[in-house]
Amino acid sequence: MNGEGGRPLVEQAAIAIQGLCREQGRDGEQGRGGWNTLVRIDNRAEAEKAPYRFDAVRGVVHRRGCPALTEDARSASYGLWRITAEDGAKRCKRCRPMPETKEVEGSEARETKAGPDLLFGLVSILDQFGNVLKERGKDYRETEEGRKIGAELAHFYQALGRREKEVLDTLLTSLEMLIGRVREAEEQVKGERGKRER
Amino acid sequence: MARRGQGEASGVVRLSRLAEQYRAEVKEVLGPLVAAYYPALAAAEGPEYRKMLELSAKMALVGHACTEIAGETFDAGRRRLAILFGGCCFLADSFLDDFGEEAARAYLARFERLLASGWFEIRTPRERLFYVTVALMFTERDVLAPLLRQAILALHGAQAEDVMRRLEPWRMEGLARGRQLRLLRRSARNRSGHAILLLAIFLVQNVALSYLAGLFTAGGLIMFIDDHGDCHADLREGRVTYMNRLRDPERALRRIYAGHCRRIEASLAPGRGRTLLLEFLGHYYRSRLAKHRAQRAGGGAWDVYA
Repeated sequence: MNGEGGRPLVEQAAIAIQGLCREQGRDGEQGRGGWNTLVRIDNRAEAEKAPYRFDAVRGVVHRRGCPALTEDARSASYGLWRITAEDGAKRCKRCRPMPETKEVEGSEARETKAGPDLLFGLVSILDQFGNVLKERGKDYRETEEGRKIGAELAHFYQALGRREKEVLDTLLTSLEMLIGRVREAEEQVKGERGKRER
Repeated sequence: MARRGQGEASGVVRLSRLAEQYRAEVKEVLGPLVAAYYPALAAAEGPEYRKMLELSAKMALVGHACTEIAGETFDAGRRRLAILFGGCCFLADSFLDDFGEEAARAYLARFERLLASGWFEIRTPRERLFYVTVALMFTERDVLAPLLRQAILALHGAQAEDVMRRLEPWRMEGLARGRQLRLLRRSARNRSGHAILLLAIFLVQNVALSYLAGLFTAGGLIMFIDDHGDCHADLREGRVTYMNRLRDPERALRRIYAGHCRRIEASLAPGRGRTLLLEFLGHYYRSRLAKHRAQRAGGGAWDVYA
């Protein structure tokens, strides 16, 4: 779907959103709408607290704080919230991490839902088209934090210019239509399958 | 032996065929974006645009290998993603390397802000192209996957460390030579190691940990090869790297190359993906040995980019 100058609307929307950047204050200050985060990629703080660390140089999984994870390896390591018997990685012989049979505190699922970095802003709006976050967002909106962010999104929308609103509205309307069509098709398939099974 | 020779020959043929295919696809993906958002890049007489296309074609080749190693198909969506990733890396590197010290510091701060808050103030057509490329990648992948987020941050951290070492050389001056070399070696390993993991995680969701170490090793090797190729140009620009601090870099690289290839073979299962990766590394190694020699004879950093 193309917009102004034949450019895809998704690209136009991305640029229009960043146009609001100028209206944001310096780092740490809030913009006029009361929001200052579009999307937070930086998850270093959460990753530090993850129960396991994967040393990408040697392919070894350690428990958090394992002294066998050297300073050199630490710079090439990744936080893991769970390990499985199927992941194929070697286990540290010193701290002997074991695959969990139940969800642990600070699990991957909890990490990805932490903080006001989930739904709204650049990724959420763009990702509506990829629908990756959309389903996740439904659950999130029901939480207290989700409702708070919902209010922030309303401010965000109000701060958009007329043209940007039009672009976003067009995109979101198209998305809704697309989802509607997919659902109709899905219902049809289910109906056909049900008839055959009967 | 005859069968091994035939296998090697077919691997080279495949690499060459795919390289041609991806060079054409890169033009189809990045060409319209450049034309729409930063036409001056393609219109300029210098080699920068061609270099961007070539780097993106290489990313597609490496991405192809990573995807096959993971047991997945390198389909059209993944090819597009790998090409966008190449364009994005090229532009991000240019912000840090090509516009002077003040601009490099400013960009590091602005990237930090982008990663922390999602905000990136677009000031120039080059930045517009970069941002649109990033945004398009983000639409095709769940960028909030924890491992992906960490890979983005790790790559940024490794690049920031490298840039700051260049801008503030006094940080290294008090250290013994051995310690300096260890830091430089780790920096080179991490810059490209995290980059290849990021590419692989972008391309394959739920990636198995078992093959990440092999890919990280391959990434590290790419940076050692790259730095050897640019050895003399880096020295002329006052940029210190592990490879240009060594007394006999070619001999050292030969040893690094053989050792890394052995580790890759030991950690990745045999198959078309691993073969493609090793063929690519072999080709890159040979081409950068030639580039090093060309630079020693007075050639510039961008004389060889294929």
